[in-house]
Amino acid sequence: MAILEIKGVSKHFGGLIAVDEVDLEIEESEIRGIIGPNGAGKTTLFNVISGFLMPTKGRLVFKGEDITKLPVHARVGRGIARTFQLTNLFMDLTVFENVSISYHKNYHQGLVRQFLHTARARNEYEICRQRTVETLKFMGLGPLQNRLAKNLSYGHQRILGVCIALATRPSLLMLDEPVAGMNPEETLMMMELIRKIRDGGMTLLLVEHDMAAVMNLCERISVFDYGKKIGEGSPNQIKTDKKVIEAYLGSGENNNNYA
Amino acid sequence: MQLQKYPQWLLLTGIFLILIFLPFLITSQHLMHILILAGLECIAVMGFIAQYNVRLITFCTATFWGLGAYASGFLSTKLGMNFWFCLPLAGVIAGCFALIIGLLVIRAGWVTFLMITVVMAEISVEAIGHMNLLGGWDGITRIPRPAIGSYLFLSKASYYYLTLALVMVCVLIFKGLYKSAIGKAWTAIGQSPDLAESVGIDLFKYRMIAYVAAGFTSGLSGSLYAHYVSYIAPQTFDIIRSLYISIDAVVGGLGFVISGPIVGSIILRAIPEWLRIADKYQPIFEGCFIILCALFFRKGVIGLLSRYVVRPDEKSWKGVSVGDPGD
Repeated sequence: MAILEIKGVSKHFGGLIAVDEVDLEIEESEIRGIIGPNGAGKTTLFNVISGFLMPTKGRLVFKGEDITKLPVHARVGRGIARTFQLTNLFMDLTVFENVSISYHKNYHQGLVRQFLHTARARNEYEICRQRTVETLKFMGLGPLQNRLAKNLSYGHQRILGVCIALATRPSLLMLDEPVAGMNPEETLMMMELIRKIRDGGMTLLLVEHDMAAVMNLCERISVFDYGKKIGEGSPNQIKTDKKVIEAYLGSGENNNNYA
Repeated sequence: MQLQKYPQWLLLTGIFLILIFLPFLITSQHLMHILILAGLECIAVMGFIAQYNVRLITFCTATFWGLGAYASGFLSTKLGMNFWFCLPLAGVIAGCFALIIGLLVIRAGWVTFLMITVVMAEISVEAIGHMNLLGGWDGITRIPRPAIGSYLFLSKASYYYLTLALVMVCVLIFKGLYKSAIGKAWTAIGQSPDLAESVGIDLFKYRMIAYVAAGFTSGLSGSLYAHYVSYIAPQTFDIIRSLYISIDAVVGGLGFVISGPIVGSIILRAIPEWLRIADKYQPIFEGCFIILCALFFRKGVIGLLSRYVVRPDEKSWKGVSVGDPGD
């Protein structure tokens, strides 16, 4: 069953059509890759799904519920989490604080109880603390938990970004270029982690430029060009798809014109 | 973290004891007067910082302060209400105004919000100035002094203790907020609104809480101010007063949510008054301090001092410097 259905979604910026009538179905516990040349509308689609942009047309259905009009924080409540392309962390906080803040939506106590710091609220903090420690351990950041986020290495910062998203306990995790700018060693580490997260039963959607990583990780890949979906299938199908090759390498006709 | 706790606790107790016995040590009535004013102002500064932390920069802190003062003045002179009823009512009235205005303007984004607060600060002075019911430009005079039974609050020392109690209440309110999950959400918003939103924090709701909490406490402070000076006029609560409040916050240190306002308002309110240059040179004094802050101690006076107490890497977000708010 599809966990997320995107039905005819378009996003226009003035006259520019960034995403054009896209239909996409993400199956439960798969790793879906979205690839395409620069400016293909991948990140725009990403922002539309997470709620940072409202679609001009079309509908989004998550677990059978229409989420098209929901604001970002409500979508997080339904189980959609995302990371950012550029490193976006709570830089002046420690690693531990970064992750524990993300457990925010798991606080069920009312504002008054939180303010008065009642026993039940304290109990929730304790649970939150334990879960934070678990998450950090799972992602291998345990030993760094008291370091400030801004003092971490780039690779660790990216992993922390994933940790923060994970801590909202999503069922769909969207990663925006998770291995961009990483060295080969860090890339391998991140890929390992992404598989580990999927094995925990989560659905992953990732936008990525690193072809090797995408081909390696994803079960199915959707290819975008000029805001349109031009192909979909397993990595092997994608590699041999004529339209996809054209989009990436340019069509033969154009090459002849220049020759 | 452990290292930090012990001296902090000791420091707080020490400061508290000094504050309790201060009236016995200070004989100058003038000095007591400026300490009371600084104490009342620091409550408004705490509100300013709470709002700054969720990236709402406001220039109408003094407006809510004045709202509290006017509410209290009106209720006590025209309706003959007791100070002890006026005080919480003034807070609630200012809080309600903050709620209504917040509902309208917080979603507008920080630049629009800032502009609207500037306009509000100006309009409120004009509006009250033209309202005969509230005394117009002449203000409200002869606001009754607070009393418990037959004891009337008249001496500076008695007002000092009243102010101290009110500051303590507000410190407890803000401390409670910052320590709870609400405070965590505030911190997250202050660090990165986008990321905070993407982990499920409702920006509007938590900005609203900060805004209303600031309005409420400023209202309380304004009420006591009105009963202390027993005369209020619209010009007292103009935009320059709001500007001074924000400068207090910067000088104390924007990352220090409780100690910053106290130190900032004492430095900027008390020193010029004490040197008796306030009426002529106050703007110059404020200006010099803000330039000094920008050049030499961007984390405020407390940031400057705490550099010698804690290693920078050990403390977490409290060292946030004066930066571009952005959104």
